Amino acid sequence: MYPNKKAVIFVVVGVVALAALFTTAIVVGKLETPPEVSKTVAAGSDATPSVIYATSFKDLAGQPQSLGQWSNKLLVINFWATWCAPCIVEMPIFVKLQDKFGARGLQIVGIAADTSVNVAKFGEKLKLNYPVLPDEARAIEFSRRTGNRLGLLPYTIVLSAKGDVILTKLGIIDETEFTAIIEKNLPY
Amino acid sequence: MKTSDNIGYFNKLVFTFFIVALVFAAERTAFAETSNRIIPGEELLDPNTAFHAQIRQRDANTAELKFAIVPGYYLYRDRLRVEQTTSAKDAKKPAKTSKKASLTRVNNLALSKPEGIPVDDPTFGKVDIYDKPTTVLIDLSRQDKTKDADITLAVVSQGCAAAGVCFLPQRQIFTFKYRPYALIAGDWVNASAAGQVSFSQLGQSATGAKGMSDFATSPGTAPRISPRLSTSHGTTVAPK
Repeated sequence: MYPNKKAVIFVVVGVVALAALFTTAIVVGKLETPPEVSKTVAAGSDATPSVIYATSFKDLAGQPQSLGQWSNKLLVINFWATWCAPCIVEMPIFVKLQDKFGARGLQIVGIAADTSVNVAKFGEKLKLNYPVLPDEARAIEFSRRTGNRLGLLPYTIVLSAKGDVILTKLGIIDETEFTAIIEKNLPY
Repeated sequence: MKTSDNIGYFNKLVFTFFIVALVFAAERTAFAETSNRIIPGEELLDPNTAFHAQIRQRDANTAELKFAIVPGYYLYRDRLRVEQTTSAKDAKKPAKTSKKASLTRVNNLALSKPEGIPVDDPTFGKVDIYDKPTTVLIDLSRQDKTKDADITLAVVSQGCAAAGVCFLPQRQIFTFKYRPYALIAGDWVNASAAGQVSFSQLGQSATGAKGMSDFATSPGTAPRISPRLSTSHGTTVAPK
């Protein structure tokens, strides 16, 4: 009537294995979260919107610009560089959007992993209508903290006027899709 | 019921749960979104994998730098520089771009780069890229040929993925034994350290055709070696 030792061991091992498997499945499932919508923080990052707003970058005139000054706007932060061909390809889209929706609270900001000399030259050529902040040393590291795990360019993060991360996008933005998201989130 | 029957039934239950859990886990990993994915289902590789580089000594005057470029990734032919530092310790720090003499002696080595694939880039105009495994020759003719020595090189390169993203320039450190009297090629070595650096570390600007010039014009380089010629002692060819 008493269960023999072998049976007990077998059962215990079975239960432990089962528990381990379930834990793994749950942990693995939680590790990757969709980057599209996040209430507080972009996937894989440690920079909450408040950290983002607290960060400053110098503009072309050498003046520090705190990202928080645009916390009441629909803030699009685009990480780019003059040596990054896909970055340059998408910039006219940002110029167009800033022109069209700037009056309704859209603010695009370009943070460049580049020197101010290069950025200034390019800014003139492309007739940029939004601030570009060159910082070779800090741009990529900051973008990593906002979710750009491999530190690639171009990378874009969008924060609503309410301070939520609406979107992170690696690579060239899709104009139609992006415009729709912008229009949906304009503060006024 | 006998104990053995209970166990048999329990075994079947455990087994079933095992299968279910496995399927569950697999599904969650396969379809989970990651932020380094820009084409659904396609994971972006890190640069050390996409452009895996190795170096070996070919002979007394030449080293080979081999990039095992993965399909879908490419390096810019003109965004490639190899420098030699005086010690492995110094090599860990990127060369300073200031004009003041630095404690670390850094010397750009001449390279012989094969022709790349010409592309007409809308931003940069005509550029050459490497989009498949490529070997670049490094000029070792100026090394001290009287004895064996460890050579430490830093390779700075920059590439992109065809999917439409670019990596920051990468700086990889290689150390290998230079044997001027060796009759056969040395072993391939992997990078002992790698990291990203700013674009300025490539020593050029990307915004004009001038920026795409090759290293014959940078200070401290020896004349280029043509890959078509044998690399017997002292044979160098003017840049084409």
